[in-house]
Order: sequence, then C-alpha cells, then structure tokens
Amino acid sequence: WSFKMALEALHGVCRYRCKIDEDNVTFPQNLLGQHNLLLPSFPKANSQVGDYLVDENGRKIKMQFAHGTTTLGFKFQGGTILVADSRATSGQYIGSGTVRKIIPITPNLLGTMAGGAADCTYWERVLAKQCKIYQLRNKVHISVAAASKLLANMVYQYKGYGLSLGVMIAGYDKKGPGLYYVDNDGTRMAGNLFSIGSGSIYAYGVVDSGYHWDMTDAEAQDLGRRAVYHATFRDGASGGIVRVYHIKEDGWNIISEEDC
Amino acid sequence: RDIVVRFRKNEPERSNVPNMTDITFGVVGKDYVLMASDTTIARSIFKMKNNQNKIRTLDNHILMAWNGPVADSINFSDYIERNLELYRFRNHSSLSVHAGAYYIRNELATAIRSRSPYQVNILLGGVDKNGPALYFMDYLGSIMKVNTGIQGYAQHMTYSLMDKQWHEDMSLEEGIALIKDCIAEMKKRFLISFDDTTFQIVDKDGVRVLDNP
Repeated sequence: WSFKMALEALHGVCRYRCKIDEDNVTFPQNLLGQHNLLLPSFPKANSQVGDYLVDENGRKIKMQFAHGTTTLGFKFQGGTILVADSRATSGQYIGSGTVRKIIPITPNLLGTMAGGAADCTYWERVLAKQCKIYQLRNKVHISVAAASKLLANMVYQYKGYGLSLGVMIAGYDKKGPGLYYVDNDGTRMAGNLFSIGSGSIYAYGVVDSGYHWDMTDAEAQDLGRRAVYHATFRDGASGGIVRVYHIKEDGWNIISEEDC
Repeated sequence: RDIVVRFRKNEPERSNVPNMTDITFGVVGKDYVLMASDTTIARSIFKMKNNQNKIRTLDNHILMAWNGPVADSINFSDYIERNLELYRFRNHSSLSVHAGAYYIRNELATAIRSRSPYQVNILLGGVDKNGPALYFMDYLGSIMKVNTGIQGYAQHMTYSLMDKQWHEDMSLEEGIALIKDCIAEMKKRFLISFDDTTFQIVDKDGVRVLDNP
C-alpha cells in the first residue's frame, strides 16, 4: 500500500485532492490527518448549524440531532459490563432498530455512542488509530485512563463547535476494570457506574437498586440487560435490540443481543 | 500546520456555565490552611459522580480547590500543575504561594478576553516561609488574599458564619469545627444535597488529607 502511494507520488498522482477549483482549495483533510477538520465558515458554529438549512419554501429546518439512546456501563469484581439499545431516531421517525452503539476500539477497549452518531463513530475511530499506534510503539496495551484522556483532549480542541458526544470508554487494564465518561465539553470522569442518553434516567433507577461490587458475572449481565430493557419501555427514543458486552482481562465479548 | 481555532463566545451549552453549586471552604489557621470541598459532580439534575476530589495538590505545598465545569477545571488544573513543576525543574526551587497565586491569576486574566476563557473559580492555599496564606480567585481574574474563603452558592449562606467564628491563630480543632459548622449550615439550608466532603490541610510539613476530621 505504501509502495503504491510512493509510486503515485512519484508520478504526480495525488489521490486525495479534488481539483475543482485550484485557486481555492478548501477540502476536508481528514484523510491526511484526522485532526484537520474543516472549520464551519460561519460564526457561532455550535448553536446555529441547523439554522442554515432551508426547505423548498425557504423556511428554516431545525436540524434534529438524534440524542435518543440508552447506554449503561458499570464496573464490578468480574470486569466491566456495557449495555446499549439499538434505536436511532430523527425527530419522530425511527431510522434504524439495529444500530451498533457499542464500538470496539481495541480488543481490550470498548466505547459507547450517545449524542451525535457521526461524531461518536468518527472520534472513536480516530481514538482506535491512536491506541493502535501506542501499542505498536510501546509494546503494551494502552490503559483505559490514557485512552479516555486522548479522546477527551481531542474533543476539548473542538469545544464550542457543536460536537455532540457522550461516550463511555470501558476496558480492562493492569489496574483492573476501567470505566470513564467522556463528553463533548471535554469532561472526563472515572466512575463505577454511568448511564448516558435520554433513557438513562430510567436505567439509573433499576441499576442503582441492584448494583453491588460483588455480583457474579451472570447477575451483572442480567442487571445491565434489565436496566436498559426498562429504559426502552419508558423512553420513546430507545428501543430495538439490547446488546450486552462484558470486558474481562483477556478482552471483550458479546454476551447477548436480544430483542427484549 | 493546521491549527484549530477555538472560538467559544456565546456558548449556549447549559452544562458549561460557571458552576455555583460546588461547595468549597478554606480557612487560615495558626500555621496551616485547611480546605474542604464537596465531592459531587452533577449533570443537569443527576449526580454523575460522588467521589471527585476537587482540591488539587500543586508542588507538594499548595492546595488549589477548583469550582466550575469539570472539563475546564481539570484542564486548567493540569496546565497549572505542570507549569509549576516546570518552574521547579528549571529553577531548582518552587514558587512561593504568593507568586504561584499571581501566576494563576495571570493565566485566568489572560484567558478571560481570549478566544477560550476558563470557567474556573479557585481557592488557593499554601504555607511557606511567610506563613499560611489563602487566596480567592475568580474566573475573571480577580484575586484577594483572605483569611476565610468560600466559593459558589455557599458564599450566600456561610460568609456571616465564617466572619463570626474566625479569629487569628486558630488551632486545628477550631478550624475543623468552623468548617464543619459551615457544612452543617449548607446541609440545612442549601437546596442541593451533597453527601461527602473531603478535608485537606497544608502546613509546613506539606499537604495531607484528613480522613476523619
């Protein structure tokens, strides 16, 4: 692959440039470097992105970002459990019932998706790249704290630009199970139990009442599944398949993916 | 190459306004500075975390309690901590408390009219050869050397209590009792509940956490 690129460069073929207007080359350079995103060309980018869309009559369409979701993560003696629903909504329409909201970052790390799906998948993919580079350079797996700090720092650069992320980075490293909450403001918090999304309010009730550190694996998986199931019942923006992941010392596993 | 320009005026994000619900107290005693803060991080109406230590140790002889949104506070605290360490490496001695306080104030004041203001309020306490000192700092860059410092909504409820009970050369027991009275007042009158508080003290031997004050 790098040989092919070198050959192309030798012959002056530049695959990633679009030569629409040679004087005014403004294109997203995120293939060359993942932090070189185009800045929006208007001020107040954080709040007024949706105001620039108009329908056929010229009325403004308020862009509806999909925040509806329920994700849940907690640590216990047997590792870290991550559970998420799989519904994607735009306004009142259910776009998909089979979204994968738990994203693998490395074989030992998982990230969840809540907020803007594009933001979450893009930045977690960039994080996966950084984690892999860390592992190649240092010959050890990256710790959960370091991975979450990388993501928090990346997102802090774009603070105020309208990114929408509410993710949990979960994994198992040499300090044991790890769970961090990372936000689009750049907030990063370690904790034993987090739930994020519109259905989190319902999930908290169930999981808080049944949570304790010394659960068995089966109890923990069941508690997580139940909490998200109850959230999908009450929250209109959550539903679909409930996916349960368990992260242990040797990596993560999918425990179940059921339509509860 | 490409530098991301952060342009953060007029942020409507509700979770990023200066957070008045953090409770932080600082008291100057005979030869120590005692600081206490609550340990709750909230997100809209939820307590997301209730064991967050909001008092940072800088350079082993300064305590910095932060109030504000977690992102800005942690990033600012990291930045200050590392810059103070860098000063120590370069100059083979730590900054005094007074110099450290004014350095931090300078950073806040530079930031307030820049593209990216830090929304952090600070209480800074330390003991050096000039004795104990406590500084109250605002996210706007104001600074005051005080004997009793309070941040957030707690100011409304406990300033008078501090004024009444504080006196020069308080012993450690008296200092702890004063802060405990303030915490009791907050628990009685403040709408937002908080469970735990953490007490940290700095004296000529350095910084330590008081486990059972």
